[in-house]
Amino acid sequence: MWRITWRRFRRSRLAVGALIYVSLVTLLAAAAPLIANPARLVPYGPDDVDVAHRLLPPDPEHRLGTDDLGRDVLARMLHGARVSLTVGFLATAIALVIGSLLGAIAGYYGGAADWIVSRAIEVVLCFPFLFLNLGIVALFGPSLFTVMIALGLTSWTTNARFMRGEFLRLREMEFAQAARASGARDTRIMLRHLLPNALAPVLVSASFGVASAILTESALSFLGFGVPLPTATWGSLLNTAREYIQFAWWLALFPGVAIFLTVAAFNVIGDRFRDALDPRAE
Amino acid sequence: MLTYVVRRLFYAVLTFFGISIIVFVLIHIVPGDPVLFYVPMGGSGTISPAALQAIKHAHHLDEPLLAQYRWWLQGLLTLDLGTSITARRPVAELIGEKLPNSFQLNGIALLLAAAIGVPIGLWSAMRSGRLSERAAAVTFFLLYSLPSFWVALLLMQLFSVRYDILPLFGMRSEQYLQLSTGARIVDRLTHLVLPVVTLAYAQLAIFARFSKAAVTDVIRQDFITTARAKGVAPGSVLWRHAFRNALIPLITLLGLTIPYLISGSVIVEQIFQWDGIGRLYLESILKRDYPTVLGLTVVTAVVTLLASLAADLMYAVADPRIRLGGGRAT
Amino acid sequence: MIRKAAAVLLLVVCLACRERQLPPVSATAPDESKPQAGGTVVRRLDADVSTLNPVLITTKYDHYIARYLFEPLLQYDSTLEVAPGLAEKWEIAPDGKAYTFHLDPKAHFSDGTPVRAADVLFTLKKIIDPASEAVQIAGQFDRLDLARTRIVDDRTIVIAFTEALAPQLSWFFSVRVIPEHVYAAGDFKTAFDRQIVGTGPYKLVRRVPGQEILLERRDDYWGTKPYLQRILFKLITDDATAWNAVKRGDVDETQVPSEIWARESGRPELKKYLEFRRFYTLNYNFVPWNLRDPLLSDKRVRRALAMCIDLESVVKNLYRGTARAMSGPFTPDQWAYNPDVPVIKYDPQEAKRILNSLGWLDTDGDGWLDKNKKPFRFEMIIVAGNIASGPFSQLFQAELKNIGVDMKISQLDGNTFMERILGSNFQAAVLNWELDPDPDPYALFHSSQMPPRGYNFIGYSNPAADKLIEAGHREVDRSKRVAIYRQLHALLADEQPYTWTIQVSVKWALNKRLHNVKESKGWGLFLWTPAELDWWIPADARTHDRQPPTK
Repeated sequence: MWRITWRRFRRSRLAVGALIYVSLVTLLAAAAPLIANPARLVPYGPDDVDVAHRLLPPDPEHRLGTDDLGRDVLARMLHGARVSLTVGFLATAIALVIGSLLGAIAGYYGGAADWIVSRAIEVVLCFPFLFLNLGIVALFGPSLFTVMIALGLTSWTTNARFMRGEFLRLREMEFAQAARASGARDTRIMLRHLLPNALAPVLVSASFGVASAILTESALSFLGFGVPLPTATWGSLLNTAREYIQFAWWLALFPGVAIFLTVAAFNVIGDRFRDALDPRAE
Repeated sequence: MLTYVVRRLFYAVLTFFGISIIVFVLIHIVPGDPVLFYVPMGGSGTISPAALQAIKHAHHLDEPLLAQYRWWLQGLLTLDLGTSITARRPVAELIGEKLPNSFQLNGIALLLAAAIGVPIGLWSAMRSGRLSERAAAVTFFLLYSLPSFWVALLLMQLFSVRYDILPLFGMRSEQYLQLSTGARIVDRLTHLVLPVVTLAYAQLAIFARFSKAAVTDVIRQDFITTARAKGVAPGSVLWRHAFRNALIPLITLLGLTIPYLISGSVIVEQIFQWDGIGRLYLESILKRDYPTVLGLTVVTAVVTLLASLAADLMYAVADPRIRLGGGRAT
Repeated sequence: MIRKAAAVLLLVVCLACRERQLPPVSATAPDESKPQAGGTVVRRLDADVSTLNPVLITTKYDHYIARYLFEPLLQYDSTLEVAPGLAEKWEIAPDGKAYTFHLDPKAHFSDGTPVRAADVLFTLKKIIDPASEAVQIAGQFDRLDLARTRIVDDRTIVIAFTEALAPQLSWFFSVRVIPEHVYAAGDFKTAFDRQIVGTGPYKLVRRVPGQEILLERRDDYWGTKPYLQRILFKLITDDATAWNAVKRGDVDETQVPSEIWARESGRPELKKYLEFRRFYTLNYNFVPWNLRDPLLSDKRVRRALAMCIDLESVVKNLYRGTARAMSGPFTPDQWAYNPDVPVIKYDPQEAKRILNSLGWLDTDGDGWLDKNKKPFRFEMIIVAGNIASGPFSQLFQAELKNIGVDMKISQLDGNTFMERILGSNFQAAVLNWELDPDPDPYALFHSSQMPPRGYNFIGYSNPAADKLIEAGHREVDRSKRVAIYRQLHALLADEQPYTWTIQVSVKWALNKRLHNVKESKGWGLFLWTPAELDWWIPADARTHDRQPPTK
């Protein structure tokens, strides 16, 4: 089944392109400390303050210009990629784990468990998402860790709903009933039989989740409640850009493009993957 | 059917209380103190503890958490949302002032997004697979990957800073009261352009994709093939059969987006200094103005729950299995 | 169809454009020396006022409006010395615990009733009443002795205190007298935002919350009538928008941020009709150190850390020369300032040497100084989004990193920040003080003034400093106070309970049609006397009065 899916996925050039882009960015992000380093390719660190050269437009010295403290924008963007992607991946992982777990329990056991989880989902949905994020960050102090947890806690509902639906459906299918009839334990059934079938759509959801997490993290950093200074994230770079919007267009352009392309790539991957899985798609 | 509605209503009320308790606890746990708004940082450096204590007392802030919640609940039952600690005005009054502004902004954005998005979605469904449709699909994709605050910055840069065509911030210019009625309308419109565009472009993409998917789903179904086979004209097929069936999920989508009419624009309102609910929310959280935060949560929660209830009812109407009761699925 | 839509759009855009044209280059009035009565000035309001009740003033903007509507008992003149207000003369008792005020017999409220001593007493009572929640000024009168305060006659009142304090006289600036017969009834906190009866030269005509406030000159004003007939305050929260409005001539004055100042104030086409002023006010930036923290309790450590701030570079590069370094608790404009106290020199190598000598060495080679296996690490808190503290703190952090000190920066929202500061739950921070004309730093540095009583949240307790502070707090003779405070300046600069950094100049853009705009020594253009009450606009430059009448 995987091979078929992959072949269909591969058919879309856009999707493959997106996959390549994402891999490239991840690689760059991982290698950022090696690249953006006074001795190497981009001869500046992300935190190298140089107040005498602040707010310079792009030139051969600083390919993407400098920010309000004279730091090289390109270097900060490379390091920013690390942070943004880390937050994206880990926050989505958290959301995935929580959501799948709760959804699976709700879908499989039904009854009271289902009722509780459904109410919990409604509560989180009704919650103004920003408020929850702000609250958690304010409560535990702003840090990379807190932001990830906050994002994870606010975005598990889609996964939960989905898992619940899947488990409800799969539970009634023959193979599951057979397993139950043969006396297998519940957890075993859930893990070995139902989960693999629900897995593929989860990956689709994960891809969209990463896109969304990157966007949200940027938004939080933009509002000033994300990862603390002086760590660069794409969102916090845009925050600085806002202050100097009348004077420094380059501060706004490049981080935004980075976010845009990365988010778009993940969305494309998720979308095409979903199409590839769907037996009815042309 | 009735039992279903009553049951859903009951759940909604429970959820509402759940939300209120969580928000209440959260905002009190978060470090910070609303009274600090009044503490002068500077000047002669004199603090008056008695006055600060008086403020705390007036808002029951010196009582245990449970008692405070009870006070608030009591007020709620009489539809009194309390008084803002920092603005010294009734919360309901504050909300009443700002709600129409958000409503206006989000409403226009929603209408625009739907009015443009849905027809394009339909068109896409018709021309599925062709180059023009694929190009459109990719465009929409890219659209909703754009971070809204970035788009806002770029638009501001282009239209306000570089070419002084549109205003940078606010809902009205400072000259507003000195303008004639016609000029006032133009003034409001020019101030609306950038925020509405920022809000609408992503929603537009969503509407387009959603309606395309909904219609495509219906088109593939057997009864459509049958109609086509029977020789019914394609236009008629589209309109009478496909669209009307796709309408239900579409309406449901609209129903689900209604809560965003008041709460979806926090970031945009902050960027454009739009005097609406979103900005009020952000600022009252920052100032730890508990009554206002709770009041806004109440309003948002009620609207969301009602919209979700309406959406569920819509499904119930469409799906007889639920209507006749006994369905396991909630 | 599309073409029609485009045409409509174009029309809309053109209409919008037409509303904003650059103002015609204003010809200066032929006779500039004689002030002419009349005209409207449009001023910018940075944030909406929270109240128009002068006892409940919370923000600077409340103050701007109250300035026109109410007269305080005493005013400040352009050198920020106490001047007559509603009280035309006063005497201080020999023991310094009683003040006798003689009210100006001409003083009247806007409803025609004369200002009586009973109204003054009423105002004082309202100020100290906790139920009024007059947080900003109640503390200034907590030594008020109501038992010995008495009304001598309709125009004379003796106000008594339990202690003799040097700044007490200047604090009467906060007593903006309100009429008892009006303000005694109703909800004091909310009823008087519409209904205003005051002693000032202007009355409230219209207030549109979130938009504007219009004031008009009183014809029956009892004192010297100001020239301008109307004052229109426009609410513009964003600096960039306000600057655009001033450029267009729609608004006559605004404060201008440093970046805009640097780029725009030199443009000749703007200087034709705009005047750019730069001046220092009574404020300074500083880094408070939590002296109870074992890491920071040694003054040599604090001095070493202070040596890592390159103030010259900050002034030159972050503020483009529009700021100046601070050496201690008083600004160069204050009479308490000691000009002989030097600014701490920027010398990171020396700083490192000092830390080394105190036992801080990089024993494990990780790049950070450590002692007893613990690295030299501390946290600096700043307010999120503050464009002054963000860059500064990051600069400081980079410098400290070079000598092996690890400073972490935490951005907090304003409320959490304040809570931690006042709760002494911090190690270092970036703050700014706005000072009163009286330089007495009692509430900041005296050992009895730790929160919640005062603002000594750094936990400074030094008997020598206490003695000096108490002496200055009670001494009424100016020349003696000068000597005391100069000593204090030197002492505090040596001890570094704060590391004083810079004083940023305030920058203003004014339309040249405004005449007689003067600066004070420390309070800028407003709030002292006569200040904004003395402005005038020549008759042929009154563009705001040519607007169609408002509805």
